[in-house]
Amino acid sequence: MSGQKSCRASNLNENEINDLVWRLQALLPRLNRRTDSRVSVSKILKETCSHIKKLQKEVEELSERVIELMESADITEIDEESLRRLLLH
Amino acid sequence: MILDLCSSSRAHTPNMTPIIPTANNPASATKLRFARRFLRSLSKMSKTRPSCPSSICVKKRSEGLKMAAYWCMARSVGSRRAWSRAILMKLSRGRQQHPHHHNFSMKRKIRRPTWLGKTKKKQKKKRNITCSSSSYDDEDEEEIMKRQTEKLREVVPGGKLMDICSLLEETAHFVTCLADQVHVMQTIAHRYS
Repeated sequence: MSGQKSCRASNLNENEINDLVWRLQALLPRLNRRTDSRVSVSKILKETCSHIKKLQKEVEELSERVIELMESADITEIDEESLRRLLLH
Repeated sequence: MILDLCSSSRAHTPNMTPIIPTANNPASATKLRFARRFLRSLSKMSKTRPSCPSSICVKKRSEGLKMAAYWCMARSVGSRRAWSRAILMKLSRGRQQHPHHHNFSMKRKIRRPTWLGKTKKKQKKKRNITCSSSSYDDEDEEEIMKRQTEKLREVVPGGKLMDICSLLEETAHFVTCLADQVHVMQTIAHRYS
């Protein structure tokens, strides 16, 4: 992307910003279904923040869960191959 | 989502389109790289069991695993993204300060940035830091946008140094990778529960 360094408040190419923001909207599960109604930019930004925080919290909870499983289930060998297949199919 | 993956029959042909619940398919290579790295970290951690399986130990180890997850994802993306570079820089500084610990479980003195998630003990709610003299009722769209952008800068690694265009681009990629990371961890947790 050209002109990144000149992206200041007064010289913003609004269309460019809007394009990037709509791209964000497509990634948000709560907002990307509503393609007909207009969602404001600030709402998309707010939803992005809360979506990221939600994912971070999930990472934290999953880490705890995996550690607990490791403690109780005595996992010494993890089958990489079967997990790869699970992720691909 | 996880049940769909796990119950899908192994009779699927290898050429079948992978079911990845993220917006971009090209992220799947990164996702696999992350899965491989993360599993290696997990193997290492499972071999080093604490002497006392107390709840404090569990919390410390899960904190270490969380950091390892972010590290593995940042390594899988490499240096081509500002957010991954920020994570790698931040976490490698921690490793330098604690050279004896090859894993992240014993980090105590490192200040954890907001974008690595907050630990449950120290939940500092930053309220009204960017509050201007006017009340929220009088804020116009621009003020709201400014505030939301600042919040976004706090949650995206390296966000504080980016211009708005880069911030939005990096955020999109970061969200995709974070979703991949969660998906892999969910698959692992489900596989071993």
